Amino acid sequence: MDNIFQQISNQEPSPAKPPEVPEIIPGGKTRKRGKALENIQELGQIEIPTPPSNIYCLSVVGQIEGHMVLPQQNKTTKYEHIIPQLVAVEQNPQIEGVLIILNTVGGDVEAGLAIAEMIATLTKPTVSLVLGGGHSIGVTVACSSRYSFIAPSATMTIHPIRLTGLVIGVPQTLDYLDKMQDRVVNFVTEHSKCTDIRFRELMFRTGNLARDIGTVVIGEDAVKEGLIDEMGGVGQAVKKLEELMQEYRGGGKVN
Amino acid sequence: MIYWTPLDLDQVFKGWDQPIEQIVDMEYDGLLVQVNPIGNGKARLVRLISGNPMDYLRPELTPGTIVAMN
Repeated sequence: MDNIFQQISNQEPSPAKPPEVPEIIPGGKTRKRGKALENIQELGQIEIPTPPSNIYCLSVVGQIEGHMVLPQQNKTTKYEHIIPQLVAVEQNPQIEGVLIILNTVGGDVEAGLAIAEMIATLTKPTVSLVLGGGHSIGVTVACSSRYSFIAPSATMTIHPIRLTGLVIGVPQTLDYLDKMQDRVVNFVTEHSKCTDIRFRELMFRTGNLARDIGTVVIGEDAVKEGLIDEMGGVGQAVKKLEELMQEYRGGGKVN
Repeated sequence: MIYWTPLDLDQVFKGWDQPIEQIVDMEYDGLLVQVNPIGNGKARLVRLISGNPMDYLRPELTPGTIVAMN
């Protein structure tokens, strides 16, 4: 009899492994498992404590969402979350520099310009890096930083802006559209080495895009056109930011 | 509204006629947030409403994070 009991108890399944995700408990706190202890037990490793970074990494991905909430399947960057983040970055003494990572297809002009103006007026050093794509309004965000980088394979599409909703066929509509376009062109020309004439030339060029007018500039071309300062990746971008931060700490001129 | 993107507007606004996600106000860690309940007592954070800019630097309050409903 005793043997049977012993057998049964031996057959008991081993306790289920605890879930890897931290358990969420009401009140907004997460219960973390002793990760360091777990690593020692299971892998024989000790966890290296990570020092807090003095760089704030801001990623602008998907579409830049503005006054209208986009349908659920769109990946968007919400401007109402980015703007207070930039205020916090400006105020927080622990943050000394901002790295902006861009991979965006553009979006709302007002939201994009708001983010770009916020970045351009930060007193702390800012470096942007275009990876994949920084199209349309993404161009303004890319050139709003103190120094900009583009990956050799990254692209930027420059094309005329469009109006959504009801468009009235009157000459005033064209004037309005022209004014809206000027806002973007002025921002880009003020914050990059590209001239007004050249930027408009790229914007209205024909034969480059299949279903639109405009130009696609890839990596090196963006640097040649003066939209971006240098070609590079994350290593160069962080190195440049650290240099700018050094100057900033020393009270030197950053611009 | 002015949209500037190489994407087709049909693509951008695809799904606009679908029922919109349910958004509920909730208190989370003493802060007012808007969430989209996904069942099982969990919700996806949609928006943080706070006047303290430092709250926006907290990674656990980024839109899209899964939080427990209370």
